[in-house]
Amino acid sequence: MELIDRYLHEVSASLPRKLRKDVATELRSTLEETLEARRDRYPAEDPEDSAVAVLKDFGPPRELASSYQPKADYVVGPTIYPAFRTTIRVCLFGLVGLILLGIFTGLGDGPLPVKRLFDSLLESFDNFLTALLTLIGLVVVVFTVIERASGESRTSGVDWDPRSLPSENDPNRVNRVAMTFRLAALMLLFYLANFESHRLVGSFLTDGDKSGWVPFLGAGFRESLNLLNLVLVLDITLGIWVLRKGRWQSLTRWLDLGTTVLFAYFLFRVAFGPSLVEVDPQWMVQNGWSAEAAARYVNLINETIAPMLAIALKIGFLGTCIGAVMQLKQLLVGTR
Amino acid sequence: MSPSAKSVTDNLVAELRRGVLVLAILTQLEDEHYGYALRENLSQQGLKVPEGTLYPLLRRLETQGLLESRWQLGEGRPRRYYKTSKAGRKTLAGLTKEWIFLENALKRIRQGQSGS
Repeated sequence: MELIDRYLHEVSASLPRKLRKDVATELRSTLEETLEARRDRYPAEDPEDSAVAVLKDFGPPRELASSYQPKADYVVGPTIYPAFRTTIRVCLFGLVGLILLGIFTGLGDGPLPVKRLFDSLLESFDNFLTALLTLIGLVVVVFTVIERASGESRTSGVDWDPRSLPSENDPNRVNRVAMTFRLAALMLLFYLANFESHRLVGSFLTDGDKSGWVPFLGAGFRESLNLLNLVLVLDITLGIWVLRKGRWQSLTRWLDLGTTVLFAYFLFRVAFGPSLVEVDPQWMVQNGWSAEAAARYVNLINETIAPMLAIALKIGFLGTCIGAVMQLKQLLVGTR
Repeated sequence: MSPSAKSVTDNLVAELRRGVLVLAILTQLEDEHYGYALRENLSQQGLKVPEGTLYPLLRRLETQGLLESRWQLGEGRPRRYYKTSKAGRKTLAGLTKEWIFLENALKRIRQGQSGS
């Protein structure tokens, strides 16, 4: 019966959530009945051999699971849809957070900022809508890529051996939803860091009649971008590979540790190297801002934003180091 | 028969059987059955259905409104019983009519060939 449990677990894992319980209950009942009938017919047969023969008739679990789903050509299929939904929500909240951060860092410490707040909100709402539409389009593109790239490699029914089914609690099984979410986050981060960073990280400032967006990413960010890109590309490639295989292997676990260490090195460089955020007051003055506004803004970035970001990056570095140590421990001890 | 010709034949036979299978299921499920019993009945009457084909097909026919189902969760193992719905009976009537028409037409074609 253990083989049947493992089989049902694999079938369920490849089904959309709403179908899982119902299909698994019916399949279990049918498999057990078929197995009983086979044992009545071949009483001398080894119980495991009977289970293997019955499961072979049902075919590889992913193949069976796919026949429960309509053969539509999905942009985002039902298996990765939960990750798609979560990503859209995270993007929405992240965007609102960034816009609010932009508004409130730009308000400064002038008199009652009702008019400035209103202007900022109006301008930000326009930015928000544009950014939201861009981001949703981008998420759809990213998930379409994942849906196509992560197509599972199928085993033909003839070659398939039910004894090779992983155990129900197999620690090497890939959580497809979590991995898809991780991949989407990495791809979005790659796009945003390379193409949208100056539009997303900055403040909407008002100073008298002058108002506008002032980005505050500095030289530290530009110097670290190549390293960040390397980490992201390696991690995305590894993620797609693992998703296609459906299971973690020793090699992919070591490679994953490698990307974590590389990411920790990236965080070390940006946390202890030149600041990621800075504003050039001369650039602001050249672009029509008053010298006072530029000085006030530089002060805000240097005194508040930069130290807070440095602390966050140091915490991130520490967390990533702990994560790397735990990964190493799992590799050396856990898989023995 | 060459391997490619055999594969073409196998595919055509599979397509033919798929069409007939819907007709057989809708006919058989005029009386309520659960999946395993339905498969055994079809098998006893000469129509063997691969395990991995029947249950997804039952679900699809139910989604299309041609079958109705209910769970029986009493003593013993839970079973899902299927029955041809009102819409399914209408479809069955249409399919049966078409089946008889095709069968007769094919018979005439074959007789014409053997006569010439």
